[in-house]
Amino acid sequence: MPPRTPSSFAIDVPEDLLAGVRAGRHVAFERLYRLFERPVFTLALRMCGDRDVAADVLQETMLKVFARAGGFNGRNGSPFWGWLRQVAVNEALMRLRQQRRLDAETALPDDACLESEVPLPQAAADAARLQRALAALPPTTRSVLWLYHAEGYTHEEIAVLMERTPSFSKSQVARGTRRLRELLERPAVGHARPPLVPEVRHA
Amino acid sequence: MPDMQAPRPTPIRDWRDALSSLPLDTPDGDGWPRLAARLPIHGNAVDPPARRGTRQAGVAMPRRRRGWLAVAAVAGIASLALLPVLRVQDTIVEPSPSPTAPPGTVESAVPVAIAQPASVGQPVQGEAPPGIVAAVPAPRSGAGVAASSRPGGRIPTGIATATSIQEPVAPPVASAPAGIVPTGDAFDRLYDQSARLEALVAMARDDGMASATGAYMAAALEDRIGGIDASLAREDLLPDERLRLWGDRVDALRSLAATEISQRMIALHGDARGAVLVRVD
Repeated sequence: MPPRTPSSFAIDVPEDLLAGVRAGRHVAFERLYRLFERPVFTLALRMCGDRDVAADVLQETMLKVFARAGGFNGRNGSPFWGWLRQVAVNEALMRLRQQRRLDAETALPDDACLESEVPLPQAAADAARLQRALAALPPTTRSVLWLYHAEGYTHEEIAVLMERTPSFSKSQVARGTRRLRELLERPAVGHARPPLVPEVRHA
Repeated sequence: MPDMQAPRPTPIRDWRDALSSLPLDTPDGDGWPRLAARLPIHGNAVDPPARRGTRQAGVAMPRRRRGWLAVAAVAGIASLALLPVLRVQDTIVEPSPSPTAPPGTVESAVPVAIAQPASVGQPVQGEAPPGIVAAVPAPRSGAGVAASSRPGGRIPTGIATATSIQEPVAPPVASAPAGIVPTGDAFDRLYDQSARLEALVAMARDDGMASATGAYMAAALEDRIGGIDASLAREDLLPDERLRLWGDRVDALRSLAATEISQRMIALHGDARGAVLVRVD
């Protein structure tokens, strides 16, 4: 069975680079920034839905990483990239809260049982269409969907991050995938069939 | 922009595969200069031997070292009293990338331009190697200090890389004067100035050649910048307050750069009076 695509954050940071960042060396930190610039920006963009906001989240995330790198000790073998990703997720969620974009939806029990019933449409293989459909989701649903599917967070972890329950996370994933399918199954722009013209029969 | 042409190597079996294999997106423009400008002055552009000690962001130098430097500074100042008085120039000004600052806002009578090192991203015309041209600092409050408009004398070999001597141009506004709206452009200008000045400081700094007075002044300026950084870290700052602090940071960095450059000049030549002030685009 082919392996799953790992998180885009799963980058092994060499020890000497990490030591340089901890020592506050700007050259080392720039290298770290270049390694994680796109994963952090993409995560922030998927969650916040705005490029300028995502750029700010990237800035604030990396500033916090620089300030706190000395405190990372890799307990229990946890990788540095996992810690960095968590800083980015927290920053993106904080930005959404500040903008009051984490709507107060309640978990609908019925949704949870539909989670595994939403098949993947063929259009999901089109990256551009999938990105457009994802961008059309509400921020909360999109964030949960992204954290669950793309970053591999569990429902329990998502519940803690968003200060909700695991049922809430499950319902958001179910709603989100259902909505994605609906959006992907719509005809793509420019590929709509022309309306059928009734055939005129001549006598 | 997203990398839409990148192949998606893993088969798309479910929603997890579909979402996790979406290509990464790239921020618009390079965010590193803006980020670098917000980092505390710490370490150098090259991997250091021990420089002015490693510091945590916003933490002042240890009191023991500051006390030692104070004693050394007093002795140095006493010995400097025997040296000829250095003619100093007023505020150091860098070329502005967008000369939108209104003329007449410069604080000095004759601003002095510093050649931008090529490594900062400003290409140096011709084959002149990058270098830092002498720019002697002046106290900002020194309104009574005479500013020589056109220092005469020789161009120190090995240092000057200029191709011409130009009249000073309208300088950028370092601090945010009253009435300036804290727009993104205003912040970006200050971020850029801050990043360039930090790079200049890193290039000019050489602890092995620092005088007691210069070391004391540089330490004091670093402490001031650390204090500004600590203030900038507050989340409750209003935009105009944040803009003012960034202006103060640029001013302090400018003074620090001037101090470091003058130290290099004194150490190399012992006398900066003969340096010709030039501008390299």
